[in-house]
This record gives sequence, C-alpha cells and structure tokens, in this order.
Amino acid sequence: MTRLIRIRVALGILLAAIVLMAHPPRLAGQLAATPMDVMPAARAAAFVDAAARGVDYLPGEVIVRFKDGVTPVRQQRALDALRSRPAVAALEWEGEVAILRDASQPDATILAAQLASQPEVLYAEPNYLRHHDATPNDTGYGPRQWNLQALDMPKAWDINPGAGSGIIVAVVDSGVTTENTTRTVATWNGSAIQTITVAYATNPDLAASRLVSPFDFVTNGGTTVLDSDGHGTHVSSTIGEDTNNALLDAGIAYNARIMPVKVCTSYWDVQFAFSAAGGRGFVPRDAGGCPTSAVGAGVRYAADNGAKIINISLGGSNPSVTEQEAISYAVGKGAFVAVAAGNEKLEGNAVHYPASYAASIGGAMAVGATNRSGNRAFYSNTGSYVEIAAPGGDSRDSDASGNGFVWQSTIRPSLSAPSAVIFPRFDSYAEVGYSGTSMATPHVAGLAALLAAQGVTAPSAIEDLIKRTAKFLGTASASNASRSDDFGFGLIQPRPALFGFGIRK
Amino acid sequence: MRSILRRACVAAALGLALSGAPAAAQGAPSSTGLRAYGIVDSTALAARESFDAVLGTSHLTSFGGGADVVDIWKHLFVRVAVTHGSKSGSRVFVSGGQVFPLGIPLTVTMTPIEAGGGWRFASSRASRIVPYLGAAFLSVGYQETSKFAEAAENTSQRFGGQAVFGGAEVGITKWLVASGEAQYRRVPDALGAGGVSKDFGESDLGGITARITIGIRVVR
Repeated sequence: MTRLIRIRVALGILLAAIVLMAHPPRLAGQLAATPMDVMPAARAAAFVDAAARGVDYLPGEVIVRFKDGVTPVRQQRALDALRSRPAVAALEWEGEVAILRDASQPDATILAAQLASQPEVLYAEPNYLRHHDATPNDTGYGPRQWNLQALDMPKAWDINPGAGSGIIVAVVDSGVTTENTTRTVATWNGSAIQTITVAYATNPDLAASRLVSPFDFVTNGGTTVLDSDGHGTHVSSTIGEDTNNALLDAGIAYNARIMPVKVCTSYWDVQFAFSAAGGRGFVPRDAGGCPTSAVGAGVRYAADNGAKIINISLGGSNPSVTEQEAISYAVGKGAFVAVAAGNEKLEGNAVHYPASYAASIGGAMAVGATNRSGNRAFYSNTGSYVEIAAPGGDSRDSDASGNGFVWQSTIRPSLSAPSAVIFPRFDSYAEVGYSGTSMATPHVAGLAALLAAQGVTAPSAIEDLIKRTAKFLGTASASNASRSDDFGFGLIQPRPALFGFGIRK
Repeated sequence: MRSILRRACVAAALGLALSGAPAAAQGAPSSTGLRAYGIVDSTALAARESFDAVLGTSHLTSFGGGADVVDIWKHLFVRVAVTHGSKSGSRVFVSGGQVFPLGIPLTVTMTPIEAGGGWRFASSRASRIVPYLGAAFLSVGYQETSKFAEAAENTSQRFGGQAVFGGAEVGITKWLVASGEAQYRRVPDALGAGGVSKDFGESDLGGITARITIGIRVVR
C-alpha cells in the first residue's frame, strides 16, 4: 500500500514537472497577465500572405497621396478607377497619406499603378515591407566592443560624456520594451492553439527613466512598446546603453534619452495575431517586416515629439515616396536622420531605400559598415548614395568567439528566437553579437547625439561636421575626390568632430 | 586703467635702464634722442570672420613697450617694440555660414615684435607736436591653445610680416611724451590652411592697429 502511494506521489511529481516544463514561467503570472494587444487579424493575415507569396509588400495594400485640394468627391472618382471601386470612407488616413486595402487585388503594384495614373493622385505606391539590415549571432560576454575602441570613444567622452537628457534619439525599429509586464497571448504549440503568458522586461542596461514618448505603430497600442524581436533594443544599446555601470556593454550617447518607435512587426507579432484569429500552424519564419506606411508615420511622429536624432536601421530595394517625404519632414523639423545603406552587396547591390534618399537631403546620412580590420564589411552596399561609414561588424572578420560582431545588450535569442523556442520570453537580456549596416547606423546616430549636445543643432551642420572630420577610406570616386562609393566620406571620427575647429587648426 | 599705467611705467623704467644713464646726467643736448614708452594697442584683425567666430570679436587689445631712437640722421628714427595680447573664446564649427560654438575653451595669444624706422616731421627741436611716418618688419608670435587639445592640435608659431605706421608725438612736459599712432599690418599666410580661417578664406594675421603710447624722453 505504502509502495503504491509512493508510486502515485512519484507519478504526480513527474506529471507536475512535465506540466511545469511545458509551461515554465507562465503559470505563476497567468492570472495577473494582461491580454496582449495584437494587430487586427486581417493585418496579420497580410503579413503571412506576404511571406507565403514571397513579396516585399503587404498584398492588396497601397499608400496613396492625393493632390492638394482634391475633394472627397474627386478622391472617390479616382478610386472608382479600381475594379473593386472602394469607398473613400474606407481609406485609413495617416497624416497626408491614406492607406487603401483592396482584398480583391493582392498585387499591390497593379493597384498602385492604376491609382497613380489618375489625375487626382499625386503618387501611389505599394506598402513595402522593410527589413532589418542585420544578422543576429549567438550570445556571448566579454570585452568585445572593438567598435567603440576603433572610434577612440574614451577621448570623445572626455569632451562630451554621453550627450545629455536634453537630447532625444528616436529608434524607428522593432521597439524597445518600456515596462516590465506579462501578456497572455494565443500561439501555436506545434499541435494546437494554446494560450500562454509571455514575459517582457525593460533592458537592465538601459534605464527605463531614459525612455521617452514611446509609440507602437504595429498594433496602434499607444505608448506601451514591447520589443519581441531584439533588433530595436540592440540598436538602441549602441546608441545609448548605460555606461560606466559595470554591466554588459557601453553605448555612445549614454546620457541621451531614447524614444522607442515601433514600426516593425516581428515574427512573434504575426504569430500571436495569427493564432488569436484562429490561424493554425506556424507562420513562415520570415513573416513580419516594417511597412513603409508605419516607417513614414514613425519618422513623422518622432520629429513631432522632440526627437533631435532619428535612427532608421532598415530598408529595402523598392523606392517609397512616403519614406522620402517623411525623412524630409523630419529634417525640416530639426531632426538629423541616420539610415542604413543596406546589406545586399553580394546579392546584387541594389540601391537601398530609404537610404538612397539621404544623399540628397542635407541632414540625413546613408551609413555603410566597416569591419574590425577597418575594411568595408563584405555585405555593405556600395554606391553613390553611401555617405559615411561606421563599424557594423562582419562574420568573415570575426574570431572563434565572435569578436568581430557588434556586441550590445538585447533580448536573449536563446529564449526568444523563433528558431530556438515555440514559447518565447522577452524578459531576459544578454550581450549579443549582430552585424550589418543596421549596427553601423546607430554609431552615427550616437555621434550625432553627442554633437547636438555639444551645440551643433542643425541637422545639415551635423552631417557636414561628420563628413568633414571623417577618415577617408577607399578609392576616391570619379565625381568627388573626397568620397568613395564603398565608404562615402569615410569612417566617422567622434573625437575630432566633437573637438571642432579653432582659428588656425 | 591702473594696469595700463603700470605696464607703461614698467616699459618706461626698462627704457631708462637701457639708456645707461638718467637723462639729467647728460651734460649737453645730444643730436640724437631716445624715447622709451609703454604701449596700448587696439587691433582690428584682418581675419575678421575667423576671430569673430571663435572669440566673439575681431578686436584684440595688447599691451607692451618700445623705444625709438630719434634724429639719428636729420629726422630719421628707428624703433623696436613688443606687445602682447590675449583673448579667450570657444572652438566652433562653421556650416553654411552659421557658427556653432562647441563650448570648448580656446585662448589666442599674439606677441608681435616690430623693428623699423621712419621720419619725424619736426619743424624744430622745440616743436611740441611732431608727426611721423614709418615702416617696420614684424615677427608675430601666435599661440592658440584649447582645452582637450593634444600637443599637435595647439599652435605656437612665429610669422613674419610688415607694418606701415603714422602718428604724432606730443610733448606733455619736458620729459614726458605721448603719441597716437595708426598701423597697417600685413602678416600673410599665417592662417587659412586649417580651422575656421580656411572656411572663411582668411590668411592674414595682420590688421589695423590704433596705438597710444606714453613715455619719457630718456635722451632729449
């Protein structure tokens, strides 16, 4: 009898252990957790559809801008040119542009072409999906910030110790988590839809008090931002991770404030929304992206809410007037914009957008990547639009321990990456190595923050100063002896830029 | 003002010491005279935009001393003088004509040494007011030091130049003289290779100087 009880107890413990292993951290917080705000089911379906079709836009979705003074009646006339004849009232407005969703025509390029030919329309374009210009790597710890050493940052910090709280740097990306919280979400567990609790936490090496005016353009969730990707957090860490606190890594403008502007939909954002809508199965691993409508809205939001610097570590190969106008708007409002030049050098080196717009906008810069050896990173796009270079890391110029990537604190991939888990958590942070022009760009944004704090307040002047003090690299281009197509005007030099000029030197 | 007078007195005392003997000890009127004097200069620098950007002004006030040996041959005189001026400002960045001060302290120090001569238009040895004209060679010591600078980022160099000047000496008492003088100085190629002087295309470290001296007739 006693033996039977023991067996039953043992089986009970084993069963409990299995249950705990299946639902590790979620049981304790399940009752207190808040349901997750997810994007509308139709939007999630559009991301899944885009991944399934292998297109770089949201199917059936077009950004349209009507000419000034066009009345709703004339707008309707333009819309009537489409086969589905959508109603003006169905347009979703984001500032001066409207988003049209037409389920009857998934090929957004056709919709855009039809609309663009109407006399009432200034422009129409597909809602392209931008992607991060970075490649994640395994986690690791140690003194690996060769990137900051290459820039001689300690001497730059002698002059300006990390900018100040008066400088706001917006990170238009996958977000930076703004609170410690849990959310209940539906997801696919491999055989069924299951409701789980997911934990989020702020970065322990980026004080929450330094986060300002966050906004989520993915779920329209307002002022709570939750990063379920890690890219935005990594980028923000390069810009301004807490420094001199004996924890993880250093950031460049470590006293500036960070504005998390979430415009990128992560794999998990899509999976959770898909499952919440009853979708069975895993969404494609590459589901998600950064719609150009959200990027444009995010950039405008940042400029309207006091950002002096805007970091855009994303892009794609299709042009977007929406993004171009948003960047021009932001610069006009006094914000300097740093944009990743792209990682497709070996995949055809197509012109990268919105980076290529930066070259013609004084106050916005397209940023290429260098590696630990000071050469162009193998993936870094080249071309006449590349204006400046900064360390971006390079897997081909890295040692066995990953020293050659850009290491910053971000969400721990082993607990959050879709390749690693089916029940993710986003409350654990580690030093993680990434590479890409995504990683180079925040070096420029961080430097811009230091310069703004030092008194160079005009975006065009920040660009001018960064260019003038850059260390020239590569072979001069035919049209301009001061720049090369590989590195632009060269590698940023924070200390000389901050030191400025005297009368004679 | 007290500081100016103190500097003038020091210069005068120096002149006396250089003369080898007090004037009263001289037995008979000499054909050659000596003036030792203190100097206050106000210079409107030629590199106006560069100095304006960094120092907030293009005017530099200097103090110093000098000596003229007069009537060497007829009314010919020779001169040696040195002045010293200093002013602090901030390092800057200039973009599109707009100046952005960076808040990094910078101090400019100029020490011109002039050696030259000229002609005094004296109607007689007893004339109370004596106009004069002259020219001089300049050796301008120029220093520019900044906080946070490494050695090579500061400047400490001498540049050669020329000056032409004109003024009038006024006899106040038997031994006390004062003068007012204007100088045009040219110190080419001292600037313009870097810094904001390159931005503004300014290379001349000279300018126009208004000078007041007060001194003594060491030898009449």
